[in-house]
Amino acid sequence: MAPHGDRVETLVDELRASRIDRRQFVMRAAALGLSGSAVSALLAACGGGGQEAAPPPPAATGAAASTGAAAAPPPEAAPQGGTLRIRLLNDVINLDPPFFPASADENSMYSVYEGLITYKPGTWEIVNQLAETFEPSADGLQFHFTLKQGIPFHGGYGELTADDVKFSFERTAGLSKPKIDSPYKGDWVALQEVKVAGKYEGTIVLKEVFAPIMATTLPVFSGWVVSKKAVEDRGKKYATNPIGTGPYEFVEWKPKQHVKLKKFADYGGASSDFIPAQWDEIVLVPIDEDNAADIALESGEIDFAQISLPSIDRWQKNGDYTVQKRTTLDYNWVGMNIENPKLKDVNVRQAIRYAIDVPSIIEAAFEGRWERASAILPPGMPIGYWKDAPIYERNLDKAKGFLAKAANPPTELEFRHAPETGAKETAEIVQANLADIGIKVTIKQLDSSAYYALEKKELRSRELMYVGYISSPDPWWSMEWFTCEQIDVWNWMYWCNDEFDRLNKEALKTTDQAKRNDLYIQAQKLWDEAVHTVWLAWPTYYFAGKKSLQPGLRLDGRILPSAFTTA
Amino acid sequence: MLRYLLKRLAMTFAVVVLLMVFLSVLVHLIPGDPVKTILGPRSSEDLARTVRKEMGLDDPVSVQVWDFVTHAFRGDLGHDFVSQLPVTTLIGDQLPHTIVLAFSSLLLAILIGVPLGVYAATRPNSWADRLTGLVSISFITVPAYVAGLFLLIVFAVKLHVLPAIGAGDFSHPIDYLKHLALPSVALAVTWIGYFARLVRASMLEVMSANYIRTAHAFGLRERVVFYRYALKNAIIPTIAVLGVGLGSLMGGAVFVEVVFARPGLGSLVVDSIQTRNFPIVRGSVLVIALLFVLANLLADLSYRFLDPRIRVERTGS
Repeated sequence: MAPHGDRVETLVDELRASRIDRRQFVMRAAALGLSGSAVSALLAACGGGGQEAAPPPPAATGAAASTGAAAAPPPEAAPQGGTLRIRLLNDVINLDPPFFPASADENSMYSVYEGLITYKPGTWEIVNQLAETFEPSADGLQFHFTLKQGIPFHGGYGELTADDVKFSFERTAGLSKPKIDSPYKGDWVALQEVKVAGKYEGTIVLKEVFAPIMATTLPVFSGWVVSKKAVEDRGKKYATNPIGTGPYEFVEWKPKQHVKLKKFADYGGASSDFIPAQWDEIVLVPIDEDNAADIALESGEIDFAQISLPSIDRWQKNGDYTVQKRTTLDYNWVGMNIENPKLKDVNVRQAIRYAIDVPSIIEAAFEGRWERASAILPPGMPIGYWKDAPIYERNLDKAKGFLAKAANPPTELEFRHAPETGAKETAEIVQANLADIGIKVTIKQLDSSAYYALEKKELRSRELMYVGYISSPDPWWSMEWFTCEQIDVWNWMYWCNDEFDRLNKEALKTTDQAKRNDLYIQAQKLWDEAVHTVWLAWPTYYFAGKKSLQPGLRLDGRILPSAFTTA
Repeated sequence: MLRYLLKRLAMTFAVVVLLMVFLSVLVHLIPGDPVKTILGPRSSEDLARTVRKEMGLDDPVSVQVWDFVTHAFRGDLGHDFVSQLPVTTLIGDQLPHTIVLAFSSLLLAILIGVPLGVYAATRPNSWADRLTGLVSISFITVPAYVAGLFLLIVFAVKLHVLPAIGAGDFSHPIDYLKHLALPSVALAVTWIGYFARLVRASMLEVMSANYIRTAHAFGLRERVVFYRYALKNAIIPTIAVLGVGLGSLMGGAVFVEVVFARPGLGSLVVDSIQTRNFPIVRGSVLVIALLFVLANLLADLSYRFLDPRIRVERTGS
């Protein structure tokens, strides 16, 4: 190797181990004096080019506090201009943050709105955005902020002030007048008020400690700041005419055609340190059908798209495109209703756990592309990942042994599922697996709306089921659905454990992230002991984009349009 | 004729009212709570109650039916709680694209299918007839979405001559037509084959009629006999199926709109069904049904207008 042989080797090892991303690799390699062709060759050797590019690791894990200006390095200088076209999985419907119906609306508005703090793209590191300073109190009940000055809203709606911050947060919380009822008011459930101390200064005051505020409230859309005047002026029309302070302003929404954003000429620069905003225009195109998205990408009508599992190979073989992979924070499992008489006996549930062949399910249902889950929280979750969680491999002898111990082993069970990715295949494999231990499984597919209708009678009658829930970057949003309060609502295994509830409550009111980490691991151990779940996978998103593109993605696969650059 | 017209209009009105009643109770017939589906898992019971009230789902069913029917007659199809827009606005945005797609496909099917059928009928049992028969039946069996994917791969991906997705803008007619070309061909394919077979069969039947033999006996030129005497009568069954055809094309547009990521009433309905956004489902289905009923009415009337025998039979009876 060249003069810095050992350092180059270290660098290559870091890339292979995904401790650095391709961009960091190129920068550091250049600093070592390597030529462009040498860097390309190394990248190819490390699986670059048309191969899957692994995401960079989280920088900081759910920092409880971030004070002062963000210490983020400026983004690489990128050529300016042009139009970026990105696929949305479905059309947007409502662009007002408290009422986002789906991730498409949130993804579209990432470039339009800003919050006091945010996640630095590609990491879980929290950086200041609209806030010049942001200081949580030691007891976790107050968050004092000063705003960057001279930040204009789009559309001539004046300068951002602390009143807008107060209005935005209290509005979502349902504390403003007129009162709104946002589906996301749970993000601000602990908010008492936002005290305004001056034009650019204020304090968020909580009634009680709410640990996820720094992870799933303030850095994401519930923490985005809207223009009070624009919301009041536009009334119901605000839902499709949003006003923010971001680097891009909303131009138009043509239903079922596109959302168009253009660079905001008077941008105040709150995110300039970490969001490159190199495009003149961003067009977000709703394409429901995966084949249509593939064709649009291949014909050059869009630049970047989430792709279906069966098409990954094809895109990886195409040298003009790069495939990106992000494991989400979501979780899928086969659930057992422990209140059902057939499944009350833990021996029966143990038998089922040992009889189910999870790797085969992942291969058949998810093309072998989703990461096998060992517990509810994935490694990408900023805290709470249970590294040593047991993995239960199929073992028919053990399964039959447990079944023999059961007082009244069932001979028949019903497996219910909704028409979701991989659910049918999962049901069929479970059916075949359980037949091997003498249990006949009947499969019943329900319409999605009926399956998620939360009708008590239907929920209680379930035996085995396929379930997939989505989550956010704080364990609270994964765990809260399985407390005793959630029986007959989202806790479909009907498992009620007081200790589990206590741990969850404690973790919610603890600001020490290390302690929270331990609490959530303990809670997962209790879950495992209850034997009502066969963990399947943490869903993984795949994206294909033109090779010239460096995509802007959050670690959990959320698309951040203004963070895209040319590679 | 006037009496018949009034009778048909009265029947059409009755069908529309019955349809409205059915659509207003639809939400109570399908499983699942539409409010919870629309609002998602993080909605509170308070919010669900508010939305249920806003949607009128708290009212007795009879009140809901009455409200929907009377409002619909005034042109008010309700309000979409999610986007905060009137349903008529959402439908108004999508309807022109579907109508343009359906009519252009119908036009294409007529322009290609009818001459193909006539051509085959002029050469019965020849190799040309067999070839057109093979092509027509192949076209009939190809679903619109398969034809769409094939056209996309050839013209958008390989040749790069036509756009793959979207609909363009009415303010740029050339661009709009470019976006329309592939979807309308994909949707028309089945009907090209169907019209070709229908016209061929009708033509062959008419060609064996006495008045055609007489025309030949008078020494009229073949072309005149074919196009002036035979086709005029042979085309009547084709016109009769136009109404049904338009309805079918509106239905088929759903797949084409999805494959081409094209805006339209079909994709609006599909999305709304998935999210149980029943004000939009109700309004959109009503509009599609109205168009279907209207197309059938016009086909019926034109059928009578074009075929004097029907008028005579009716008058006689």
